[in-house]
Amino acid sequence: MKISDTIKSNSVAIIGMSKNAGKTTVLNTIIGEQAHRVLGITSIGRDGESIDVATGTKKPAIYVNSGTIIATAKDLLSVCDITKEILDTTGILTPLGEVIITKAMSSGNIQIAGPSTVEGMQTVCEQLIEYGVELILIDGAINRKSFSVPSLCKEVILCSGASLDNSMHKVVNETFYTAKLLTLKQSHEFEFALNHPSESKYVIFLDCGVSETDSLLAYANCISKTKHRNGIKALQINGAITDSVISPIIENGLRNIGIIGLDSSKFLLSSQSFDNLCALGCTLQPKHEMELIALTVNPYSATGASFNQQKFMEELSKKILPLNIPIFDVQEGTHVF
Amino acid sequence: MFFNHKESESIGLEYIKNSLSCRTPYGRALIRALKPNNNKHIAELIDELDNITLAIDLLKNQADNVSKLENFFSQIRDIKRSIESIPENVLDSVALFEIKRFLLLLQHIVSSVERLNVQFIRIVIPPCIDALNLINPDKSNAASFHISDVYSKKLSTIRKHKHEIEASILSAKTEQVIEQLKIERLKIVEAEFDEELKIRQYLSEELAEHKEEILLAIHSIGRLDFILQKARLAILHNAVKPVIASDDVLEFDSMRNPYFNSILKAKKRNFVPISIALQPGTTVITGANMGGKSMAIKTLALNVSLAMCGFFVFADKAILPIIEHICLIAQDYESVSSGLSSFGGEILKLKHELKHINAHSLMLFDEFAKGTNPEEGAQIVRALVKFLNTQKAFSVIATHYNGATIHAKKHYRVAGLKAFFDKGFEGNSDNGLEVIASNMDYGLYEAPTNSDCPTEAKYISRFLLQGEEVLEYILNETD
Repeated sequence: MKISDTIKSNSVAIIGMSKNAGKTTVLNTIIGEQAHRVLGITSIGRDGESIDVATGTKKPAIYVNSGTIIATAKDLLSVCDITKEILDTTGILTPLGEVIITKAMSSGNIQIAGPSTVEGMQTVCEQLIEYGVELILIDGAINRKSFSVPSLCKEVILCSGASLDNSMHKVVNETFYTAKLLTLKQSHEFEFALNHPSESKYVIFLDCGVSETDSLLAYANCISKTKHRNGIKALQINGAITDSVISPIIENGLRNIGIIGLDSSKFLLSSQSFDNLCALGCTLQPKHEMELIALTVNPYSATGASFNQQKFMEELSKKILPLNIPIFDVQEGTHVF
Repeated sequence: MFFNHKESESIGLEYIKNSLSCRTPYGRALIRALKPNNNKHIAELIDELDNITLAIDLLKNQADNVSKLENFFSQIRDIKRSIESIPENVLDSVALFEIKRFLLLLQHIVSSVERLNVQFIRIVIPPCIDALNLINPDKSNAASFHISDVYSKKLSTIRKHKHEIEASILSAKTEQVIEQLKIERLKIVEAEFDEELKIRQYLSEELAEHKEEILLAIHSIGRLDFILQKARLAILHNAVKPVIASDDVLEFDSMRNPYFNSILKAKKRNFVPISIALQPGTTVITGANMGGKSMAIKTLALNVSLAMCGFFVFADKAILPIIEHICLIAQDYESVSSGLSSFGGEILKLKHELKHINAHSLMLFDEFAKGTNPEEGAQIVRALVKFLNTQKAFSVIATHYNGATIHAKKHYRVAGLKAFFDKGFEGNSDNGLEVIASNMDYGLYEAPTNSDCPTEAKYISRFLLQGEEVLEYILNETD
């Protein structure tokens, strides 16, 4: 089975859990497998290696075929060695210049820095489709603090590897946890909260009504007020859901409530907090659901301490089993379901 | 010479500027760079006003065609900097793309203007066909741009070679072969880049030959965009074309100020149109304190400056000469940091402005010397009136000090509350301020030059302080 067989829709985000997780290799593999289709390539913002990339030293470049349409920052065009046809400007600005839509008139290596906002990404994806792109590949960055996946792209491929941590055990656990967050689904019983439009940061759904506030303190106070504790049905958090946001829930022992967030990219809580929530019967509900279609592994670490490839695959597939997601090692060409 | 931001805001000029929505970056630049014409450019000023007349006619009779033109305007991006940078700078592919896009749009704009069947005065939009052909060598008029093989046989060869190597990489069997081919490819990539650079240099130099032409097209589009906006503004406010004469007459009939009008409307009141006729020398405006004098001065500043910038004015009729310099002393110039009192600031500004005073100056003073003791203040204002009478400039001084009008060439008075107080007091003093404000007559009326300021303060006190103990004391002092 090829990794691109898991792709069902017309756009997929490829997120690396750390640098050197093998994301670019995955991208190049998919590009090779989908050579018969018109591909569009862009990225969400830029991860931390911009300086290195601009000088073209460390990172492997993405290799595209003729006919591919890319959306990248103006300053990176000169390091793209494809023969370029400029199709359009987007008016979307990034630290590396305006995002330009370019068609590859030859094969070649490209460097991508796309829009860093959801609106910008929406615009770019629409334009790519207009120019005839059949499959959009979005290079997504992730660091240990947050994901950067747009709400509009449903399908996600998560790339993990030995570069994340020296301990295989830690890598397996963290990958499992991230995958779990990505696969969270909505449940109907919280539809009332999922569909409630609000501009406030914290929305508390009580038996007697709805309370909204932008202050973390006010939100925490509301939860801890005795008369409210049993009457909270759900929470809507419009912003990052961190441990500080979760701790009032755990401290006050709220049970069986739904916590609505925009999408998995906002679920920044630690796995400990997540487990505590589960123990209370509470669930995280993403407004925009993601579809984790595949996991990839790179047993090689940039720092040298690599994992045993077979053992890594075995450990991860055992842990991931309940999520039922295929795991690929694109370098070796092997996979596990 | 022209207003600073604070002054511009206070007279309503910023309000007018903000209400203009030019479609092109060039039109918007003209709004930001708004400055008055002077004597050397009187012909240009008259042309601009005549063009507005033509534009008004177009907006009324060919609204659809104008809409189509403005649609093209909205698609224009700013290429001015790229054009100005050649031939010293070598344009990159994105800049060339933007220039091509502009030149293609230019063709649509030129034919759109032709369809309007109107001869704008001294506005020429050259179609720059030669420049377009330069970067559109296959005449495809495609919206995209690439450095085409057409420009260089060598480039064509390099690219063929590149394509062959890439096919080889695809069908290569071993890593070693692939690596070798990749190294070879890198050399070809460098050659392609070098050749593309040569072509870009060539294109930049050739386009530079058409620089003047393109900049003229840009400038004319900006002007046309601006003229259409000025015409819209004129229709909206029933503005009138000012007559630019060379006589010593500066006259406005029923002059209005859209900025003050919008403020007053929000308070459910109306701005009363002001009629004023000035001659060289000093005109004095008197009237009790409630803003009427200030509004008159600022409305005059607004309309005269708009006329000088080539706008229709908000009046039923306007005749004025070229005014090169407007002096507006109407703020609080107190500055703790420079150790300046209000009065000190005013005097300093006056000194500065007097350096530029000539027959084409409009000197406007709103309550000059109000920040000093009334006796000295009145003396200084009297002195200023006399001095400005010896100058050829048009001067208007609004003051509540006595004794200024007798030396003035002309005297206007804000009607104020006279009518209200003559009727007797109505309404209670609880909503006193409301009552007073709604009964204020802001209109300007000519008054004899030997008449003094109305004593409204006493009446206002009587009205607002009904039943208060302090009122007795005030009445004792004033009677």
